[in-house]
Amino acid sequence: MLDPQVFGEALQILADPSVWYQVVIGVLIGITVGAIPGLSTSAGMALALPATLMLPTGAAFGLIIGVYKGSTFGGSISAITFATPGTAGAAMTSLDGYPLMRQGKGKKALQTALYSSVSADVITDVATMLVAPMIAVIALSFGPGERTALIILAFMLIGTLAHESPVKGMLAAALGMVLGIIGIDPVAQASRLTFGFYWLRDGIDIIPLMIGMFAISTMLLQLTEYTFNGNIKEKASDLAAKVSEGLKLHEFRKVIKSIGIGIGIGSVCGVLPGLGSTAASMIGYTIAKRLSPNGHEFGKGSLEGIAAAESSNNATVGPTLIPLLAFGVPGSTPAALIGGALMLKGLTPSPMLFETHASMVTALLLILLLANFVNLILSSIVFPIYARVGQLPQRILIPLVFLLATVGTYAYRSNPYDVLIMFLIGIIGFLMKIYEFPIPPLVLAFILTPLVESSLRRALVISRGNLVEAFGSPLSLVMLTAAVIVFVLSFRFSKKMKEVSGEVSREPEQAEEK
Amino acid sequence: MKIGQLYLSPDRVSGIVIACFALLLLIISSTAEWAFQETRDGLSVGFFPRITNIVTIILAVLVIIFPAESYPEKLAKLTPRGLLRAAIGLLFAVIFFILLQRIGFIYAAIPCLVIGKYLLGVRPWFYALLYGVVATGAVYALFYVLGFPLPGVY
Repeated sequence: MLDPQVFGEALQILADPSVWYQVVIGVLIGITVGAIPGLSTSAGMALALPATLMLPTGAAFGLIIGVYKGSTFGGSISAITFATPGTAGAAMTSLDGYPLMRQGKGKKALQTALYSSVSADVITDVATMLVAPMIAVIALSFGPGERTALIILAFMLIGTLAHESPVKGMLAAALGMVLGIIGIDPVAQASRLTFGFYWLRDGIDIIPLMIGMFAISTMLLQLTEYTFNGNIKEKASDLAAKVSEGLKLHEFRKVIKSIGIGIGIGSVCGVLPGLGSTAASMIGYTIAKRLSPNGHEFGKGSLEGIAAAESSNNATVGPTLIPLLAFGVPGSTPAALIGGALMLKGLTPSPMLFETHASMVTALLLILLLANFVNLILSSIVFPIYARVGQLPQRILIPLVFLLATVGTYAYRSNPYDVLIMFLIGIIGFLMKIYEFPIPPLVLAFILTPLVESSLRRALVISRGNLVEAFGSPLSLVMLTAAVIVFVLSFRFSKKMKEVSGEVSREPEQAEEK
Repeated sequence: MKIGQLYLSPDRVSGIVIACFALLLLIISSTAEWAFQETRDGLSVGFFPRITNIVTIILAVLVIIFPAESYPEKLAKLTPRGLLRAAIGLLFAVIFFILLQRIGFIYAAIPCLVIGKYLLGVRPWFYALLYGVVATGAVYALFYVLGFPLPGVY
C-alpha cells in the first residue's frame, strides 16, 4: 500500500521543475520518434538513455518515460496519415485509421487514437501504482531458488512468445545470455570470455548494446533497402487537406467498450514477459472486432477499431513495469531500458527497491501518470504538424541517426571501445533482422543473465549444490512446470498468431477489392 | 525445390554459424585457465559460461534440424548494392567517430552530414549543406537542452 510519507517525498521529487521540463522534452522527442517510420520506441529510448546519466534522478525518469509515452502514441500518427506505422505496436491502428484519413476524417481518427491511448494509459498506470508495491511484498518472500525459477519462466516467455518460431526466439535469448556472461565473474572477479581484450573485462555495457541493436541495425537495414526516388511534396499537400473533422462526444462514448477491452488485454500482455504492445494490439483488435455489433466495419474505417488497437497498445505501458519493479525482471524492451536508466542512477531493480528507495519508485510511477497528461496536451497541439514529420525522408533521417548514436554512445563515458562495441552489435542486430531472429529476447536475456547467474549460484550455495533442494519448493516447481508448459504451448500459440496476423493483414486488401 | 535451398536454408546457415561460435566458446570455457578457478560458492568460473553455451548449441541444432519453411523476406530482397550502401554508411559513421575524437563535434558533424546527405541523393548540393548545418545545430541544441556535454564542445 502507498505510505503517505513516501507519497509526500515522491511529490517533493516531482516539485522539481527539471522533472516537468524533461517530461515535456521526452514526450516531444517521443512523438517525433514514434511518428517517423523506421525509428522504433526502443531506438528512441536507447538514444535517450545516455542523456539520463547527466540528469538528476527524477528528471532522468521524466525524460525516458516521456520518450516512451510519446513514441507509443506517436506511432499512430504515421499509421493513420500514411498507413505506415511509426512503431510496430501501431500496425493495427493503420487498418482503420488510414481509411478514415482517405475519407477526410483524419483529425477524428487521430483524436480517437489519442484519447483511447491516454485513457488506457491513465487507468493502467493507476492500477500499476496500486498493484506493483503489493506484488513486491510477495516477491520479497522469494528465495534464490524461486527467483531463479521465475527468471527461467521469464526467459521461456520472452524467448517463445516474441517470435513466430519459438526455437529462434529461444536461440536469440541464448545469444543474449552469451553476450551477458562476457566480462568479470560476479563471485571470483576473474575475467571470462574476453578473448584477451582488456576493454571487454567489464563486459558489454547496456548503452552500446541497446543503441547498436535498435538504432544502428535499423539504419543499416534501411540503407540496404534505400531508394533514391520518391515524391514527398505531392503527398504532403494531399494529406494536409484531409486533417479536418474532429471527434464528437457521442462518438467517443461509442468506443468506450473497445477501450475497456483494450485495457484488459493490454494489461495482461504488459504484465506477461515477452508479449508486448504489438501482440496486445493484435489480440485486442481481434477480440474487440468479434465482440462488437459493428465488427463488419473493422478494417474499413471504424473508430472502435482504432480505439481497441490503441488502448491495447498503450495499456501495456504501465503493467510492463510491474515485473521490473516487483521482481527486478524486465518483461519488455522498454521496461529493460527503464531498468537500464534505473541502474545508471544506482537503483538496481529488485523487490527491495520498494523498501530502500520507496520515494524514488513512487516518483517514477507518478511521472508515468504525469507524462500522460503532458502527452495529451502536447499531442493535441502538435499532431497536425507531426502528421508531416512522418514524411521525413530517409536521406535526412539515416545520417542523423548514425550521428546521434555515435555521439550518444561516446559522450556517455568517453570510452572509444563503447562505440566499437556499438558498431559490432549493430552488425549482429542487422544480421539478426535479415535472418528473422527477434531482437527483444536477446536484449532482455542480456539484462537477465547477471540476475539468473547470481540467483542460481546463491541457490546452489544454500542447498550445498543439491539441485532438488534448490528448486524443491512448491513455488519453484510451479514456475518450472509453467516454463515447460509455456515452451510446449508456444508452438500452438505461434501458429494461432500467424493465422490472426494473416487474417487481419488480408482484411484491408479484401476491403479494397470490394 | 533446389538442393541448395533444401540443405542450406538461411535458418540452417545461421544455426551452423551460431553452433560453431557457441562450440568455440564452450571449448574456451572448458579449457582456459580461468575456467578452473574455484569460487566461494564452490563452482568454477567456467560453470555458467559452459551451461550457457551448451544451451545455445542445443537450440542452434534445433534450428538446423527444424528450419523455417519460408525464406526470410529481407534476406531475399538483399542486393550486393544494398550491402555496399550499408557498409559505406557504417564506414562513414566510423570516420565521423574518428573525426569527433580529434576535432570535436561541430567540425566533425557538419562535413559528415553534408557528404552523407549528398551521397544519399539530397540535391542540389546547397540543400545538403543547409540540412547538414541545420541538423548539426539541432543536435547541438538538443544535447544542450538535455545538459549532455558533446565531445569537443565546451
